[in-house]
Amino acid sequence: MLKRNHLFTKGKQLLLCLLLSASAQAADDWSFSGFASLGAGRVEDDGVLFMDYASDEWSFESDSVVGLHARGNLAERLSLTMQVVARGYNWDDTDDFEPELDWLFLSYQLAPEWRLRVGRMRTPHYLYSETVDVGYSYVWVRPPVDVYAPILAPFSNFDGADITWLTDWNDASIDMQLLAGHMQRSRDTLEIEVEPVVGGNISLQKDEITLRYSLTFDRSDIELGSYQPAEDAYRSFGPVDPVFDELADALSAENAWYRYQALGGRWEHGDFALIGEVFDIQNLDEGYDNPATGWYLSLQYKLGRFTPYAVAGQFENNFNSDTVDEILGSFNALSVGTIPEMDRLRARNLALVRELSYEQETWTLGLRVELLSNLSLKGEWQRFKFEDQTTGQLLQTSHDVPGSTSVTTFTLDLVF
Amino acid sequence: MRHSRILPLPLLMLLILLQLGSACARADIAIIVHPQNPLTELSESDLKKIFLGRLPLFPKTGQEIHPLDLPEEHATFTDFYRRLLQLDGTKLRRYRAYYLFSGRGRLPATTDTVTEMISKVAEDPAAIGYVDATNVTAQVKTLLVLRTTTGTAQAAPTPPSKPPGEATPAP
Repeated sequence: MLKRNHLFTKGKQLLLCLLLSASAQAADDWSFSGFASLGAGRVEDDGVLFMDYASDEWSFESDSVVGLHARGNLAERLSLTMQVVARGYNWDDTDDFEPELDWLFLSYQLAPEWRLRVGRMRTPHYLYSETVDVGYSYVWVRPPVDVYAPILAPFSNFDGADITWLTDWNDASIDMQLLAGHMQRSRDTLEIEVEPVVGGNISLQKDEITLRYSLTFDRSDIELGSYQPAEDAYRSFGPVDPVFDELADALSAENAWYRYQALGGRWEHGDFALIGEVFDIQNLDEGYDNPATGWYLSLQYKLGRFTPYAVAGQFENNFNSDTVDEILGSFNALSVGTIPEMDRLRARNLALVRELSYEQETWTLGLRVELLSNLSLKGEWQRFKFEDQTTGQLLQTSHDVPGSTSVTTFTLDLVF
Repeated sequence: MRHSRILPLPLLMLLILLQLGSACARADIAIIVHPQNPLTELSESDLKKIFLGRLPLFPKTGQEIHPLDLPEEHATFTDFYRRLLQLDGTKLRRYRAYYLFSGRGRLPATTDTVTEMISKVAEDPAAIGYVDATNVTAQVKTLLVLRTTTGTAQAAPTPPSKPPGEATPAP
């Protein structure tokens, strides 16, 4: 026992020595950098909110963000990367400007073309998913909302591992990435846990053209506390008719497998660039169903320090589209007026399905101006058009909803 | 010039102007490494990948690469990235912001002058840098020269030996 303790102490000392010498050696090998954006925005019409932007006044938090990045070499081929980001607007329970760890991983270069990373990383759903907060790195005020949708915000990070392979084939560069891990987020009564997320992507670049396809599978547990009483109520009527069990299943998203697919392309020809992406999210199981699709097409042209751009896009979310038929069918099993409590439940459920099924079209015109070598100014006007009394990705705040609205935003984007 | 008789005069003048313009803006750029680096040559496509951050280990030897940059304002910096990767200042900075903050790897370390670039390459067996070919000294080994005339790379000649003191500092 004594001997083991002794060895253990020795081991700890050895480990400490190794770490100290590694960090001392690597002192020159650490690099620090960062990025920041200051945004100001406003929505044109009453009754809707876009992030925290409203119609009554300009607000400055939703697009404001600060990020710090550190990277150090621990040994030959082995490095540690860390990135902490504080955002003025958070989808989840995080406070405004509360620092969050977006990246924290060890990276090991196995061979010139192969790299392994372990730790926390951004989920690479789309072309710009890993750098959505780094405004300086893209032309827009924010990546187009029809694809970089708030619905995906809970899935932005994962803890796990990935392996990348960079190679050439017939003068084309090929990047492949495979990843696996898990993620967990919460907001109010909503708890989301994904275990596992597995996926990959491949991108091909030749001359002026880049093409990218990504495929991700998530097994998600989504618990929405406020649905639980409704689910229980339906379940208790299961013996009356199977349709009530189906309605209960439709409100329960336990261990549901989701498939995310995205296809992106970019054509850069001199000062001109055309970028487009399309995505599709499907539930692979019976029951709870919340499929979404969206796309955008963006055109930009650089004229010296000015880059005007235009974007068109569309987004559609269909929450439990079968539920309407099921509820109408349930009236045969239990007609209106039999149990008032059940009538109210079905009416609320119909309203919920309508509220969470929405479609929007957007048009965006914007301008990016290079002010300094590491500072740019952007201004953007985005038009939203909604269908069927819904408000798309905007939050409805009153009974009267505008059929369309616009959001005006300015940002200053810096890298250092 | 011997084709002048069959070329229309305006076209000829344009060609001369273009030649003059490129001669003013461009000089040969030497890609330099530590003298003990076992590599004797480097392809232009590997050089591109190194400075895009897509190739972190030297081909064949597998040693980790430490790329070095001149300051952004330096004429050779601008010329190097324009010629090798067809990237101007803004595009390069945007690419690098994307590359760095998406956790893909490290950016080249910056040196302040040509003299510092040469001495850093002379000290570090894993370093790779670029300087105006006229600044190359015997302290470093040239792997590749990006020529002015064609804009394409040629295999390195025997390194010109020049006393270190003659290396011109950056403006």
